[in-house]
Amino acid sequence: MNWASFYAVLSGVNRHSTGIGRIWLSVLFIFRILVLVVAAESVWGDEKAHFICNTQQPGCNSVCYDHFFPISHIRLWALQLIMVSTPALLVAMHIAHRRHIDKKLYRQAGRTSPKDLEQIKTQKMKITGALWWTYMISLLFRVLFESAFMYLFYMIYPGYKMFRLVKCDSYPCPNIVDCFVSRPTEKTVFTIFMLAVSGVCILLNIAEIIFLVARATSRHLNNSKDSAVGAWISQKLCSF
Amino acid sequence: MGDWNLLGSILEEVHIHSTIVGKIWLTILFIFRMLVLGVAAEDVWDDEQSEFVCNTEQPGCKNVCYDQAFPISLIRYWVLQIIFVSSPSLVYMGHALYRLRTLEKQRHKKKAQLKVELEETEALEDHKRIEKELKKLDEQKKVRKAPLRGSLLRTYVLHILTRSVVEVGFIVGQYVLYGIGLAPLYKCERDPCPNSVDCFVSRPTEKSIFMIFMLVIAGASLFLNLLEIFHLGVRKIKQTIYGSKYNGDEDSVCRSKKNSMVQQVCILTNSSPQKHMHLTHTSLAVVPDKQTESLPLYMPMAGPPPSHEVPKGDPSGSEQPPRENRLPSQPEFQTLQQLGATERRSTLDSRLHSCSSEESGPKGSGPPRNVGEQPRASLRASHIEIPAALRKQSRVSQCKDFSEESDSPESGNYPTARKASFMSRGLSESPSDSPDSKSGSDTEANRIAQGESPAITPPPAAGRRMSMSMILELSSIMKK
Repeated sequence: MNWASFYAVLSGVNRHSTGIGRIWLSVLFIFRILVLVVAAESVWGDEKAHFICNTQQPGCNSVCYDHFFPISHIRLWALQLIMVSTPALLVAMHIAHRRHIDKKLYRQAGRTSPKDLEQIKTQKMKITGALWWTYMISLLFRVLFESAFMYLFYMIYPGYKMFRLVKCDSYPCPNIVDCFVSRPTEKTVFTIFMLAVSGVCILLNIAEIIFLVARATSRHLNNSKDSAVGAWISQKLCSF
Repeated sequence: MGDWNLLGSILEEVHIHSTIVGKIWLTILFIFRMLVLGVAAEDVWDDEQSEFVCNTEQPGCKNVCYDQAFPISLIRYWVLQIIFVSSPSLVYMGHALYRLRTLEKQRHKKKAQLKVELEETEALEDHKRIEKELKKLDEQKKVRKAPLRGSLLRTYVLHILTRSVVEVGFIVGQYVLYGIGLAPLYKCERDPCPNSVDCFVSRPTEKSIFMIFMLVIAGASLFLNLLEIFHLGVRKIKQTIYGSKYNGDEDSVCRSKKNSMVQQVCILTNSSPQKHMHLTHTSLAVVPDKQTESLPLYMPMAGPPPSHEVPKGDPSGSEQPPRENRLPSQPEFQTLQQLGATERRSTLDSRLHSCSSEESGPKGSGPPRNVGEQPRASLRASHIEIPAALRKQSRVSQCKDFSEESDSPESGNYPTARKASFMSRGLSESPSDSPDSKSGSDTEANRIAQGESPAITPPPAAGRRMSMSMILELSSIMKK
């Protein structure tokens, strides 16, 4: 299993997302997953091999590396991407469920021609009712996971800059030993980039939440026919 | 990592034949195990041996110490775990495909037989009946999933149990081999190392994080397996208690009140006898009998009130086979579409008024041999319902339910309306049901009613429909 098959799984959800959702998915795939795979992995590729400590003591390198890098940036970002994308599958499941019901209805009603069944497959689902709630929950979870990982990142690696030199004195290193990180500047660049894109994704998710809520409110207000105030509010919202 | 494509494509096929919990389990397997293994964990264990450093110059010492510290690399171990945990699903899938093929053959045979019958018969009604059966068979053709019953159900349960056992085995194995986390220092005393040698593991913290992660995911998979076993077990128990009358699988979708369009269609659409009737406002016990639907959570279909169907049916016979599948006619379907399109309550009311009118009409007409097809039809409907199941009776009663509900000025929420109609139905229970047709079901109903009556205040009239709704009430309470 690799990112390509993951992409195949996720892009099915794309059709039923809002416009902002599609933008979010594109940003995720292009600016995060693609950059991770094509660029960032080669930057961090030799992080252990070229982590050099100023000592001949065997084992000191390993121990110091382990002390300063409990989990590599690459793995953290990979886990973050997986966790952040997973709530979309909730929506996909719900849509599949609804489609299945529709199919059953059609079949029961006798409309079993391939054209009808095809129509169910290609029909775009409106985000209403229970699906709206599922979608909202998935968005909230996305924001939650994204923020949690950003916080975790901050806890493990405070600051965005990659250090050039670390001083280490864990056993078996004798006294304090200077250790040098490989490609610190390049790593800093990519760290800033990935953090910035995470922030953009969070903003997109929040914007999508607001958009969905506003749409639902305006729809609700439009439906309430006996409310002049409602009509006025919905008109105001639409003019946005 | 190598090519997961083969296993992935096979598991996609398994996906089709799984229940909803099975599908979630498969998704977790794909994403949290295979994907994480492929894109993240492998890189961590890449330099496992090359960066395993020992504080000695003794040739060979590092190799033997590495071998002692890591009998099997955790990456390979997890790959084996995934393969072994997936393999029972392959066995189940094989059985499901075999069953599907058998069903297909049966269907073909029956179709050929019916075609022969069609050519032979002269009577118009027989013609119609046979044509309907043929249509029904054509419908079944579309089913790509073998229904989960009989030996297939046994295979399914067995495969889940095997999966759980294998999962537990691998979790215990990982704990025995490596514990919860990896220590950075490993002291080695194996030949040819002189005395005790310090060896250092590369990236122990990162590896510990992934070990814990994979343990948690394995635990989650195990939990899902147990959940599925429990779910199937509960269904079986309820089936034993209530008898093989209910299939809650179809109910569950209709039960969820989120989609009231589905609810209405559930009331009004037809269901084959294999599929169980949906009772919209009931949270019926999920009980798969031998005819359990293959997709447990996707079965919302219920039959329309028989009064709509039966006029098309056999006017003479009161022995329509219980397994008949009545398709809604074109006008019915248009009504269905109308339901979806227009305001829910209004269509519901109109639909049910028509339903109730048809129901009440025959009710007043007395014994089944009255003139007019409709009264006969509706009573025939009750004839038909009895041998089939109590669930079919509830369809009629359900129709009455809603008619009562729509009659009341405020239709409130469903449960209260149901209770109201429950009582009113009890009061208005007509004795016009012919004894011979109802006796069988009455005994069943009475048996069930006796079983349930302690839990519910007995209604004034202890009719068949009364006990039916009592059961529904009870099961809905129990569900909550």
